[in-house]
Amino acid sequence: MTLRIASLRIAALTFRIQRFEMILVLGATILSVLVSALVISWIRTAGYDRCMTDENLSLTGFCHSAVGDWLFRIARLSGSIVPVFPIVAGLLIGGPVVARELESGTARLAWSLSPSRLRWFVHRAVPALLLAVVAGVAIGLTADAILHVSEPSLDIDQSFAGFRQRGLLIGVQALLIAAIALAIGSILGRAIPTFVLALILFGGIGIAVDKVESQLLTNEALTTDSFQWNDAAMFLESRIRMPDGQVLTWQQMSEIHPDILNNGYDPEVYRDVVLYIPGSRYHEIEGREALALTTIAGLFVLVAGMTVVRRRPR
Amino acid sequence: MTAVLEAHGFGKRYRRRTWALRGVDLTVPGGSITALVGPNGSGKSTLIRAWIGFERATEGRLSTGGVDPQRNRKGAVERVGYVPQSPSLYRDLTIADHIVLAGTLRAGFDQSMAAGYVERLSIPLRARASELSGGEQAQVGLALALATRAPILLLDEPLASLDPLARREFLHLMVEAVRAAGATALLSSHVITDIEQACDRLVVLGKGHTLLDLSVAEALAHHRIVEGTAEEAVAQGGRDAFVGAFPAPAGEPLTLVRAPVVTPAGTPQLGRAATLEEVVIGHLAAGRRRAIDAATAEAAA
Repeated sequence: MTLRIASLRIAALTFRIQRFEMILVLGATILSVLVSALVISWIRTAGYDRCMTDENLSLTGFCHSAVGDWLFRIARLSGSIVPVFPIVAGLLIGGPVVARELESGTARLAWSLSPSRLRWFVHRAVPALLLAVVAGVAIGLTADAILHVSEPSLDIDQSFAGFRQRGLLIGVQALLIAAIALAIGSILGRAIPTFVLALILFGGIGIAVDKVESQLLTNEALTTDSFQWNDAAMFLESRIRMPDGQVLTWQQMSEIHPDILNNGYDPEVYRDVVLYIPGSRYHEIEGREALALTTIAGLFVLVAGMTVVRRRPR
Repeated sequence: MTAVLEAHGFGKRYRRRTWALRGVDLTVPGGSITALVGPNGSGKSTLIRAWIGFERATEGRLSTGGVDPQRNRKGAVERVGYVPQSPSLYRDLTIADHIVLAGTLRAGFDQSMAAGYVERLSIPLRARASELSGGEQAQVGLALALATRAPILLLDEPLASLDPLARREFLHLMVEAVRAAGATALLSSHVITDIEQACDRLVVLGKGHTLLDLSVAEALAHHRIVEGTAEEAVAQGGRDAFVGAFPAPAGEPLTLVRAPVVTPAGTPQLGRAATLEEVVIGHLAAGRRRAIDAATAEAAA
């Protein structure tokens, strides 16, 4: 009980130390969630969601009314902040935790009072990181709901539509950038350079994760020569199946059999095939990427903790 | 008396070039209030920060209440209440919040004691740190440091931003609390008149070295001032007695000399009694001259 009260006190103080950023992030989250919930509920109550599935209805004036148009426009606008939200929220929440304490000299006071800097770090970092995750997940789930109302025929649990721009991954992305900013802030001890460097590093890590993930997915992909374009599956790339059953990329084809490509080929002999991941694997892939990003975030938190323990205050 | 703060051959070099301190040997006895005086850049803050484990020694070793702050920083921090050079309070937190925060960070932190000190200084507990003057912030810093009930108090130039009345109140509170707890305090400062009233020991640091380490009473008893140039003072008292020459505020030359420990009866004393400020300035002048001589010799070599 005492521990719980102490934890709540610490969380409240952390909130007050970072009042500006926390209010900004929380405010933006609550506003976005509320507006989206209101718009979604209005769309459903008025029946505008049927305009997406009922072809006859979609041609009527009802579906082209100004109200319906504006409701979908607001929903799309709310959805459009989703890719940017985790970046901004993560930077704002994670960057100042240690950097500003070092910059303003408050770390001197805190570290002279706390025999264990690690304890101080945990007290400061955990509430901030939790807030980043909670805000990110709230926005991610809102994006799920917006996608669902915009495309009611789509089973969003079995679809890669809006992959990385909705659901759990938004929360994890916010956690990752907050952790990166936390680590860089504890090394640099200055807020503004921390924001810039964390942004660059997040971009780099994003590209690296994407490359690794693409490689993994390519290895796990299903191959078909009768691919039906849809929103559920994740299309990876098209290749050519040779008569002996070997599947080659276009690059390999141009290197190994340039003559076939240059002279044209019989599509019945050399089959165009597509590599794809079925929508049924959405949550599995999402979970795997979330786990990878959380692990990377954990490493950055570890770096931040070790830096705090070792470095000298300004 | 047991030494609670020790430095043995302590040296700190920054960026592999500049030595902030070198070869410092110093002991601060338990139960004393010691003033650490020196010009800007003499390494006072570095030494204090090293004792709390905020700086690592490049050479030599330190002891804080019997523990090595480099190997056991946790132990050193537990033994120390620290007031940094510039107030470092959280701008958006109230003073009451700071007290709660300190309570969560430090086992044994006496929240009611901290609140009592703050109220005694007429600082409202509900005020935000950003609403306080620099002097009030320093006083809150002192109240927090005292309420740790640490046996050692390290104060890194806390008087710099205080007006004379606030300075007096600060020192009064510090001396009273340290004496009542039987603690040890080390106060670095430029304001020598205040030190004279509050401290019982004096350490003068100059260009990274210890120039003087005596009790205040000994420092006053062992020095005299000759109102004249260094040559005149040497002619009167001999070269061994000479410490350093410096100008008086009005410009006339003054020379600090060492007073003989025992003066034969009937022998007139050299010059006049020195003030603590003159003792300090004389030793600082001597330190500066030695540094210039050393640099000249090094350049010649």
